[in-house]
Amino acid sequence: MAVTVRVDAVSEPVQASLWSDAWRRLRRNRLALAAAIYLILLVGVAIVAIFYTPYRMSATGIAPDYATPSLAHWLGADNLGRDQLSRLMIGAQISLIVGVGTQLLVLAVGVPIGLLAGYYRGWLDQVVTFVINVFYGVPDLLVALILVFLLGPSLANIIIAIVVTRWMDMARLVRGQTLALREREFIEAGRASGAKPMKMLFGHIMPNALGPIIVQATFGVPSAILFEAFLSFLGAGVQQPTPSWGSMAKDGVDAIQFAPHMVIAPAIVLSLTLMAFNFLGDGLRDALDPRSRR
Amino acid sequence: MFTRGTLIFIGQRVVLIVFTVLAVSSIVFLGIHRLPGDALFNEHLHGEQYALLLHHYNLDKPLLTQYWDFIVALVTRGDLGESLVNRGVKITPLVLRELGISVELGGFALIFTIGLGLLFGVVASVRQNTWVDYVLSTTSVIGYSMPNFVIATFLILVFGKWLEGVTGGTFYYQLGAWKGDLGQLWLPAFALGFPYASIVARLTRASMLEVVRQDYIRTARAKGLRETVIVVRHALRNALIPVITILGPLAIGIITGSVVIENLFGIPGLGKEFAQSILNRDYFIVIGVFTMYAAMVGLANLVVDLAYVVIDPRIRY
Amino acid sequence: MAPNSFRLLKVLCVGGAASLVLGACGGGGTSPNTGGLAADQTLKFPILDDYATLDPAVADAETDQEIGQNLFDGLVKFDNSLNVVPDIAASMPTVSSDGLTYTFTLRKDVTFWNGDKVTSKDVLYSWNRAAAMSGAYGTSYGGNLSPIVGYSTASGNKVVGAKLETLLEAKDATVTMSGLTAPDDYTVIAKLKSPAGWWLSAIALTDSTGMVVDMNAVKQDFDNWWSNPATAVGTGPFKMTSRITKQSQDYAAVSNWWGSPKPTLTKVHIDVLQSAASAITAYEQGSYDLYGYGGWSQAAGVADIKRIQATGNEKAQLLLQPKVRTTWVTFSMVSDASRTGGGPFTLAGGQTAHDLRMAFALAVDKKKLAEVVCGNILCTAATGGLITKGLTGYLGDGADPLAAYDPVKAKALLKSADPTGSKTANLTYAYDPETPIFKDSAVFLQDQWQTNLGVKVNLIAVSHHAFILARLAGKYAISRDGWQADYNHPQDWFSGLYGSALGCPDSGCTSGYSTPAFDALLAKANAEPLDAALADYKALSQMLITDVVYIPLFYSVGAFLIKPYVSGAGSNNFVDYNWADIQIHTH
Repeated sequence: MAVTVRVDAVSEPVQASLWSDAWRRLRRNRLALAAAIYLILLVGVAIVAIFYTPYRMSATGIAPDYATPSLAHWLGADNLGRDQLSRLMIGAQISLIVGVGTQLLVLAVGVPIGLLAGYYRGWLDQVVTFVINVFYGVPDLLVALILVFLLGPSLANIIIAIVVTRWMDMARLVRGQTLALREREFIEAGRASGAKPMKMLFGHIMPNALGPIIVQATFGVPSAILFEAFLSFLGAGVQQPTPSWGSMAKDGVDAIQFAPHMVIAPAIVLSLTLMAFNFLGDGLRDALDPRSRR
Repeated sequence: MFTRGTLIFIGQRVVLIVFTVLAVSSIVFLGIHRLPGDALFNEHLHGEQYALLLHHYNLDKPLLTQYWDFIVALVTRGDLGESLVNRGVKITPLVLRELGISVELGGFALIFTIGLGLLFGVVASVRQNTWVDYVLSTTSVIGYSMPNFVIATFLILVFGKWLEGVTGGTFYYQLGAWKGDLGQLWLPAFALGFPYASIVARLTRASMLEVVRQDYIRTARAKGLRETVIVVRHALRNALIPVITILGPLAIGIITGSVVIENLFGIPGLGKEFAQSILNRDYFIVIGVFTMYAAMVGLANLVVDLAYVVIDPRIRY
Repeated sequence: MAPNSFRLLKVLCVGGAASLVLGACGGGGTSPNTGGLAADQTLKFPILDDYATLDPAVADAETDQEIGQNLFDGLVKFDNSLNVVPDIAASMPTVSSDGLTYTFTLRKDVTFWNGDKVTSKDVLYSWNRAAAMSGAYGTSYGGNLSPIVGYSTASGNKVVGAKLETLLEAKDATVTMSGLTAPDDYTVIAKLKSPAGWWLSAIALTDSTGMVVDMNAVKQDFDNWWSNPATAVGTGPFKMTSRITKQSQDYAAVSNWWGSPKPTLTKVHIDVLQSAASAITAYEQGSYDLYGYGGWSQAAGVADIKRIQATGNEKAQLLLQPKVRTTWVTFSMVSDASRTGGGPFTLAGGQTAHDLRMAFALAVDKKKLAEVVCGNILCTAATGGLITKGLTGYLGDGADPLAAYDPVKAKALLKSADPTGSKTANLTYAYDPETPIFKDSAVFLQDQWQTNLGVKVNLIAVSHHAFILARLAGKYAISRDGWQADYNHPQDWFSGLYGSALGCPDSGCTSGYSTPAFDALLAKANAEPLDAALADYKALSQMLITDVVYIPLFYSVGAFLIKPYVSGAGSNNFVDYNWADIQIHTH
């Protein structure tokens, strides 16, 4: 989802009060707070799943195939008699790794490109803008699908495919911010006093664009998780037997008439997680960028 | 409305679209050029036979020669070649037929997207900061947080399983009944369109709130026009402009989403073909489908630009 | 989303010795309905992917052949019990005492549906065409004609399309089998290079290279004549009336058809649906009379079949028919410069490697596998050797010691063969995920080895075509393997899978397995008549068992759904019963 951050919203040089104000505003946003709590719980579950799951997630036949929820298996069993709850917990790890991992890579790719293009302008900017527009004109999921099929399905390749098709959101945002910031007095002053470009970019411009970057990255996480779920749903997911919420939903859809419990749990958890990230992103945007408040 | 400048602009855009389509098919062609042989391979073929088969399909020629043949056929005859799996099947008519099915689905999805989106957005802005606003705004976030396959799954569960007595069971795509039986269309179209309706609703709400503060709205109010007239005729028209800007990404979103939805509901459109041809390693069809998609995206962007002219008389090209 | 993998499973019916398969064919067919015939004799059923081609010279996929068998005939055919019986030939051919000369006398009343009479010239044209296309078009079953003198000349042809048609019409020597002659309009004489008892079965293959096509139709569009209702001309009881690619097909009974039984059905309508689940739903909602015809009986989901079994009024419509595929795990038995898969299982590893293979085999509970992976519905545990139950060469239920489940012994073997665990560290099991049952069994196997041996085996999913290529190249230490019988003869299994005659270890061979003893016995068995050879083939099976070349997993089962008002529909191990056998009763 493209997040439009208006250029005139870029603030004065970073002040401590900006961040404390933001924190105060965020705390008042109950939805965002609830979302944050949910996400902290989810991270907790993902960490716990490293050490403990009720059953080994790959253990087949520990319950009858398609067993419905019971005391022994709270969310029932899947088509191979594996414990759904255990698989859902491991799936949380996968989703978080994909979501956060892609955004870290997107930051690593998009921020420098955006900074350089916005700062130097000229032919570099034109090339970058052109490439960004080309990427926006292509159905991203389909490119990612082809990439994963060509590279082979694995967690790393899925992350690569998502980054290849989604890096430009961040690049475009940072470019816009940089374009606006470089005209500001404090940057002009820095340039006039002969500061090195790298220092200007990463020491002055980037910190001042940090708010919108954080908001963009927060919105990027659910879109990456969604992407992975799509890919898994279409059969280009992580290697078996590692579960992903998308592949669990796919297995569930295949048995939807016979064992609907298989699809309901992953679908709900996936939706809740995406929702939580979106509410948190909304909250962060309102908090960090008060003038764009609805 | 369409001045000479507009026509020139349209001409330029059409040329650009043609180039983009060519570029996309070229990239996909070159990207997977070595792979088509895969589709021909089976457990019974060995050594020389396989080489002869490659020769039969011209897959043993140098890459550039293959590429040139491909481009010439595409440009002069609109010919995307033949399927490697279903022998003798011409790809162009196949993907055009499937495009028709997908466009029908996407069109209905757009009705949901824009209809529901505008409705929710306008109502929320008119009732700003009331419970109606909060409910609709929250629904929007929920809407675009739900993957379309999750929405589709729940629709199938509700209408196909739990209400089986009323609806007659799960839906499947029945050929020939497509146009006559809207019941099979609403569910997939809703699942496909609803997430984007939420985005349209948010945008509409925001730009409506901005527009109603403008002077000309105040003037209209002062003239004593009825509120409905003000909202629909004056405010909405201008509030539509930012909505139109996202129609391009929206079109991509619906195209992308249709791959999942068509597979879920078994609709034999382009999206289904895309997934199946990748699995079948029928790469010429993959290229064909991609070419169609590129053309659709280009057209969507052209329509967006033209819509500006219609909606906002101040914009001239 | 697995149609392509099914496409490539070739179900062919070169049954031959019918008495040996009768036992397995017993399940087919529905009980006759007592009601009268319905007024509308239109049969409707869904398939899950369009056929690839109907051209008998080229066709090799299951759907091609299931449909094509109703459109084309050969000189001989299989009946529903897999006996070879005369078809266009008036009787079985006379064979010279040296087994080299086959003389066929044709029926005089056979016509193509367009009215063209079938004569010996059509047989010569069809067979020469199939032979001449086998190389240039890379066909799978051109070799069925290979015993005929001059086949190698014709199959060396590299000309395609209309130019090849010209050569065929001119009876050019480069595209003509010299051993094939026609002294008069209704006699065909085939001279063979050497005796080949299996040849009649080979030319009886459904919609394959032994079928007769009409030159007048073919020459109108040499490559695609079969795709156009006007030129898709055959001698079968049905003809194509329309086809929308990847969407639907219609067929109509040929009026005054020459053969018997005369078809009761007047029309057949086939829709290409997009998944087994929606096809079964559509069947249940009354849109179709059958499910499973056209080669899709093994595509049904376990959940759907379980649901149907639990539904009172539908349970009786389910027909579970054993098919002809065995799935097993293959070890890479040779690792060398060209086979780079490595692994601890190779023949060169001696007794240690043998014990490791045995440990991996005994650690798998095959009965539980069939239960977990296919609910004991779409497969049964493979306990009687490599060759599928019901086929010639089957060892008998429980006769394969590799099918045993003995985790204690497995663990002990592993402990002695690999005390430090270094040999079995970082093993990877490769499989092709397009077929759900292969994906699920990979997951199950990993769990079994983990639980019973404490060995963590990684899984790698490789798309079907790439998987087949890499496996033949010996790139995997341990991988999924399987064979779908082309015809009911043990030679099909052993010559297609093992031994240096095939190219093992370095080409065309999944396991790389060949030993001098195996090679010698296989050559001897293949040269013998079947009765004498059977003991040798069983000895070959024992060699594979002694050397622990494979871990048997399961035999395939097809699931058909047939409405109670449909009679005559069903299937034997290899193919559907012909549409001409089917009747629709009042309902």
